[in-house]
Amino acid sequence: MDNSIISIDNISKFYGKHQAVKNLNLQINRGEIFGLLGPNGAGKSTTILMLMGMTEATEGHIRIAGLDPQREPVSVKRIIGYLPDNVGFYDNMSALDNLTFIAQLNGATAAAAYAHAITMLEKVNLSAVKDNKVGTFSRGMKQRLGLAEVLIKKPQIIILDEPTLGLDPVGVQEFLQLIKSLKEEEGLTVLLSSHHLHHVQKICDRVGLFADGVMRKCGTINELGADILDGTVNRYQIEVVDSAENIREIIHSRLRSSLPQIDIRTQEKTIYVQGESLSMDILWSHLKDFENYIVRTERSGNTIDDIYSYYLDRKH
Amino acid sequence: MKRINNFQILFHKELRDNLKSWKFIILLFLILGTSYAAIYGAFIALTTSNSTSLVGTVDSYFFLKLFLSSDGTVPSFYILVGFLAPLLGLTLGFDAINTEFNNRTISKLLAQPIYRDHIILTKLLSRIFIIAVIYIAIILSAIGFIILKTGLFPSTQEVVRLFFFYLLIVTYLGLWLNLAVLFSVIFKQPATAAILGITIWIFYLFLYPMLLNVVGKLVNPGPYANQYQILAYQEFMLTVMRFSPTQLFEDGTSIILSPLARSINPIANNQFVGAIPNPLSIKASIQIVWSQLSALIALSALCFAACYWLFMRKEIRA
Repeated sequence: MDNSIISIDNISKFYGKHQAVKNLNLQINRGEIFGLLGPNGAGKSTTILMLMGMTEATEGHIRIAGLDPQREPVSVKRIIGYLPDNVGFYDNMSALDNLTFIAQLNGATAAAAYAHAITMLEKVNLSAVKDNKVGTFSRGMKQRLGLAEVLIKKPQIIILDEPTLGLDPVGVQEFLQLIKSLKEEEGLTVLLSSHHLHHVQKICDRVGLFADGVMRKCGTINELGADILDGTVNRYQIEVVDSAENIREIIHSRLRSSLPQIDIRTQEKTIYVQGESLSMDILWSHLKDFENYIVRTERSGNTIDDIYSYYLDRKH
Repeated sequence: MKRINNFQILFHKELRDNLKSWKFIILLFLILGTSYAAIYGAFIALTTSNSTSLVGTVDSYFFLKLFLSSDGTVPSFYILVGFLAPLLGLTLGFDAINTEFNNRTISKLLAQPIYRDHIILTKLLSRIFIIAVIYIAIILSAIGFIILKTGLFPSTQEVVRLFFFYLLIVTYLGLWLNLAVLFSVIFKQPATAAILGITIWIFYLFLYPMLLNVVGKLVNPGPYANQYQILAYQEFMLTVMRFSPTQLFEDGTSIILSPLARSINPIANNQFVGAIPNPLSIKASIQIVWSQLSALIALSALCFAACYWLFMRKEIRA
């Protein structure tokens, strides 16, 4: 049975002569967190606007839960919660008033809107400042309020456009955790657009790599990673308890005895080892003595950084 | 509890935003202050110069004269509306749409289940509603003041004429408001929209009469012109003057508030022959200024159509 809730069939978008999106095909399943990954100007936001029916696709068709955003934009907007990049608020209104206004636009009575708004403010930890004007809020607080505005609609799909932009590391962690919990607890479908690789990697089930208006590759992180591993050069990363630099030379000399072409780099508490015919068995045979010193060893090459540079930087 | 529809929610929000803004409060004081000063000045002038008009006869049209007359120190109410009220329309409208774009609230608003044209319609209608309430309040309070002070009551003819005068004010201000909202759709910066609106206002207030003065001197038929040449000259000048919305408004007002006025164009002596100096019915007065009224409505509709069309076609970028 077809489980897709978002179905994009060969859409293109032109702004004058500039083609922002080129022949995009994509299916996003119910309950999935899908990451649209790509540099600024790749066409991610334009794709989102087309999904929302806020801009018209020049060619192709879109279906959101069976609805056409061009012909039934109001019905589509009822089931999608959209948090735009750098979301705006009515700064002269309080957080509660902003939220109540959005709830009323989505069908709630004044009393129900107020009650929902209070619940949502609690959910995003803004209860203490509910009566403060939004103009006084920090960027992180605004993002959380934006998410509350999205959730107050009780949507089936959430679209987040660069939601972690400008947030501090703690704010990013909290925000990503909140999104993940929405999928797990409420079964929401999330479309997340970002150019922050690690944020996407942390929460997305599948990733679409976007550049110059073209979807270059789509799949899980592991699927995309498997495609770029060539089988000759293998990479591992070893996480240690202390400074990696302290044991770098010892490991290097040991490995060099059996693998002359080995390459070792360190960064804080991580050692990156790369070489032809290098395997986990070989690595461990040389690292037995350091068992207590090593926290974790894993094969790399399928990190989002590798995938990103392979498909987007090198423009395959 | 009954749920109000999205149009009403947007309308209420716009009303609330405008009524709470400082620019509106400041302008409201300016409009109320000057309007009441003009009406009180006219009241003093009418009661001191023509005490016989206070005997309560219906043909004195005291309530109409109140909005038409001046004591010489403050302009009459309708002149004030003609040159000051556009500021109210411009102030309410110059940042209506561009602020939504600049504050990035437009994409959020359009992501809600509302029709796009509700946004532009509620912005316009809420502001027209505010204008309509302000001026009905001024007119009714002025009538109430006169009733309290003199014991006179307006005749049906006066009430009907004042109602049409009120509609004319709302239409005239609606034109300036539509123009301001149009600029707010076209220009990204509210300051640019405001400056252009004020420039047009000042042009019609000061520069256009000056230009007409120059043109008038150039085409003046001279002291030896006959009656028909002078008549043609006057008609030409009036026609050119009517390219100004303020002139259209003042033409309309002067006829609607003056039942005895029979024409807004120059009249030759022979045209007076046989005319009975009776007051005109409101229908006859409206017929005289129908072209002015329809021009104001048409200009207003044109501005509205342009801003509606441009807003609906405006590309939303994330």
